Amino acid sequence: MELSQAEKQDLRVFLAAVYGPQVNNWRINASVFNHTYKMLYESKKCSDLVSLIPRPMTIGQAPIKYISKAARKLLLRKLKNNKQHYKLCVVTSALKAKSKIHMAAMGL
Amino acid sequence: MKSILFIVISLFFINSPADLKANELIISSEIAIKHLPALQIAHSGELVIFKYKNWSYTHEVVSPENLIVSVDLTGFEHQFIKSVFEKKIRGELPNWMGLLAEDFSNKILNKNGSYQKINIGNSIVYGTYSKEEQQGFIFILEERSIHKLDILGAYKDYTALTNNIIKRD
Repeated sequence: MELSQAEKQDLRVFLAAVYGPQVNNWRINASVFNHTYKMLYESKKCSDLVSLIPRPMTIGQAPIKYISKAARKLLLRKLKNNKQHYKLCVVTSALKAKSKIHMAAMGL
Repeated sequence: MKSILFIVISLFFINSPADLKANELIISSEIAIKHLPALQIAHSGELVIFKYKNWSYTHEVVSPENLIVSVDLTGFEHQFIKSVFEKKIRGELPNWMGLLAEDFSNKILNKNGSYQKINIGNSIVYGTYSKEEQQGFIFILEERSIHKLDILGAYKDYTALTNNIIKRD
């Protein structure tokens, strides 16, 4: 279930576009991925990304457990390559998720 | 013997009240937040994080350039935050900013749109809590700055924190 180094780097690049350079000091882990996915899902404006994951999100279930490795890799690569586009679709969701993502990245 | 007794008694009085006394997070010259000592305190970017056994909260001074990704709210930040809670104020904002406030409002306010609004000294405090998400937000609007508190925990933790925002002497 753990993210590969390439996946961590893809996620880091996207989150740095959203939250700024402090992301470079973060510990990117499964919890950060879970909160990021929930942020994308809740925004309801990144539908092309969320549609990569056919199964609806279940409350209480960690996305990293049900998203296949291949879909996860594709999603993170798209996030990285189109970070300027996708950061605009999470504007208010990013504000709502900010503390959760920071805390996950700090191992809290 | 007397001097040893004096030292022991002094140590008792020095140590015990400090352990029991609530701490204060001073956020401005006017406002402080009383809270019990946290298990962990962390600093990440603009956030100061206070972690307790079953809940946590973060504090940040709102930067109008960075509050919303890719949007500069400079000059409108107070009106923007007010309009997140009070629909009628959205009409005073540029249309796109009103829509942004509505979008954020829909994400943090419950279905009834209920929120708290209190005055502390010259500051206005807006707060909202979602039992479903176990998350609450408090915005403290001072004349020249805005503070954001994000509470991750039970409703009782949210209300306790709200009640412990105080005007400094």
